[in-house]
Amino acid sequence: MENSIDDREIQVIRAAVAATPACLPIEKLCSLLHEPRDSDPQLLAAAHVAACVHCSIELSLLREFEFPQPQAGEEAAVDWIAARLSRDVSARRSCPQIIGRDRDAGRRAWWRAMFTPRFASSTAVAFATVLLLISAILYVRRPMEPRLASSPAAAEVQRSTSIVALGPLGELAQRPATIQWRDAAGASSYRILLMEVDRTALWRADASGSEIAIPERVRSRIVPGKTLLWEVTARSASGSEIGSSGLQRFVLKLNK
Amino acid sequence: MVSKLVGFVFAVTLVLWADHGKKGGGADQPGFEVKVPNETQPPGGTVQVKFMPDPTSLAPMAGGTGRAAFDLASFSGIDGIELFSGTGDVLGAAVIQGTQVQVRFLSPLGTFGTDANYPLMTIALHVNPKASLGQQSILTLDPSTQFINASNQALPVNVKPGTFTAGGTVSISNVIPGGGAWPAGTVVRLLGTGFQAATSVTAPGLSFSAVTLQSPSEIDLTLAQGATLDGEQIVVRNPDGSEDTYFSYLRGVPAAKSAVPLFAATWPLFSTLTHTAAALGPLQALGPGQLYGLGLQNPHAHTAQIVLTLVSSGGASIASSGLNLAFGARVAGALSEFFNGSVPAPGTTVRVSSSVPIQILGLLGDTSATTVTPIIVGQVGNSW
Ligand SMILES: [Zn+2]
Repeated sequence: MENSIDDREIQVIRAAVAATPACLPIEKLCSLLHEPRDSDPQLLAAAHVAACVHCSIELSLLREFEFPQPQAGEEAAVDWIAARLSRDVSARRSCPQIIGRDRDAGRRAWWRAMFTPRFASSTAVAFATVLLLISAILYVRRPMEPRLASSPAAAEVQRSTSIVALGPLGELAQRPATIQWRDAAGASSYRILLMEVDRTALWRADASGSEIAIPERVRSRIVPGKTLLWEVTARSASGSEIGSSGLQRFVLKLNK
Repeated sequence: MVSKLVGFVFAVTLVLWADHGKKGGGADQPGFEVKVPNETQPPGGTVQVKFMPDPTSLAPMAGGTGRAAFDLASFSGIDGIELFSGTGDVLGAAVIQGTQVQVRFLSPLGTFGTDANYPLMTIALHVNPKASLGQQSILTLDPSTQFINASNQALPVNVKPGTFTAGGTVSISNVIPGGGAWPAGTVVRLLGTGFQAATSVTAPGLSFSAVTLQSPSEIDLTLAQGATLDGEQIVVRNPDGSEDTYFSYLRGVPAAKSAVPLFAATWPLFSTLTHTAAALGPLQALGPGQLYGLGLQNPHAHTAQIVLTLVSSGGASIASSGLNLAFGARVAGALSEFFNGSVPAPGTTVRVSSSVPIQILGLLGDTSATTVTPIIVGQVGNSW
């Protein structure tokens, strides 16, 4: 079997999927997921991913783990994790909790190596169970917003007001026409950002009231089954950010 | 909360032990299980062979290669081939010779193999008009077919074959437009054979405001709601019980034929991702018999005005050419055919820009091995 034509055939595809020296480390992929794509390094990284099958798959698997689809209660989420694990343990990816530390590279290699078949011994299985218990606790306790690398105290001062998001939220039967939120005390304007799940911005707008119409060209990009995120931030008269709705999500129901 | 966690850990432990047992059990490499449903269609009709994933095998796949050959007594040719995934990310190239097909594909989002509702691949075969009723033939894949999982390990594909029987009265040969997002009121043409006034049409993911029989070979469906048609399942049934199931996709009509026989025999298999600006390259130095190609397809209602520019490694524009593609048209050919016969040098990049979003696919042909490998193109600029 080793040197048959069949194996040579599949090697072509394996080579197309293999990592190259230009491929992005997990920290870069995580920052693509969690930080805005508005700087040159971010855009360069995004351009690499767009043309690289290896990085594209890594990012896709990370995204699935970082922005999981189910939201109908923790029980469903736990069932969902178990179902996914049974499908392909080796395909799991996750971002380090804090981006940019040296130990993350080592942690990733260790995490991945553990799930290669040669490690599938009973000890490794027991070990994996302990690890998964830890990740399950982290998963269940994980707040909706990933932790930011900046000082939490500073973040809290800046974002003391939380804006109540009114919609669109969750699964929708129809394309939403507007984004709505509740007025925040002291706010003189609001900035609205609509994003893909990987946080690529789809639309940015400013509003003075508590509602904004979604333009038709943007609405046409809301398609069934595709989850979108939005966030409203409030600004004071001096222009400083005084509050945020946090990330909200919605998806247009598949008409199946 | 605690009980949930205990349940979770228990489930994970069971899953891992079960997996461990499988791996430790013997030399058998775990494969990807595929099932082919039986089909019955009349001579002169079309059969869409469906390669369905077994739900127990679902896992993210990064790509694969496959081969299939179909019996000439039952089939007179291949009318179409398509790969499916939940996100439409899968792209590939199929080389078709008679009733033989070889396909290479990639799934850059790793969503191929993760959805039990879609076939992994479909192949539309023209049923030999001379086939006799009751004549049977096996529908399967060559044992050399393999997938690559998300960790870049090769998995054998184990196929449970289906049986084709010449018979029945109805078949679907094509759906136009078979792909893309369309508003309410759009007329979708269902082409095939044996349609009658009493033929019923059902599509679980679609709703129709009108179903009109145009002829025994066409039924027009008017969408009651806007819909994305890629991968939609459509079932027709005649009162005699004959029925056919079809998964729709945009089957591009070749607007030109490549002068390179290998590319003339190549079906570009586009992902549903569209671009108004994309780049193929920088191109590598190639071995003897190898050449780069390009596939373009317009899924948009308006004609695409496309400009190709060859750019040096320093960013200078070396050559450019333009072409128009009507809705549903596609081209596939050697890069040199797009640039007046001159072969782009290694290090150059081909930039594609289009007036409307189109599907774009790079190809790497090997004329001595008669193979074509798909190449993912990079998006240029931000789309918003
Ligand atoms: Zn890469």
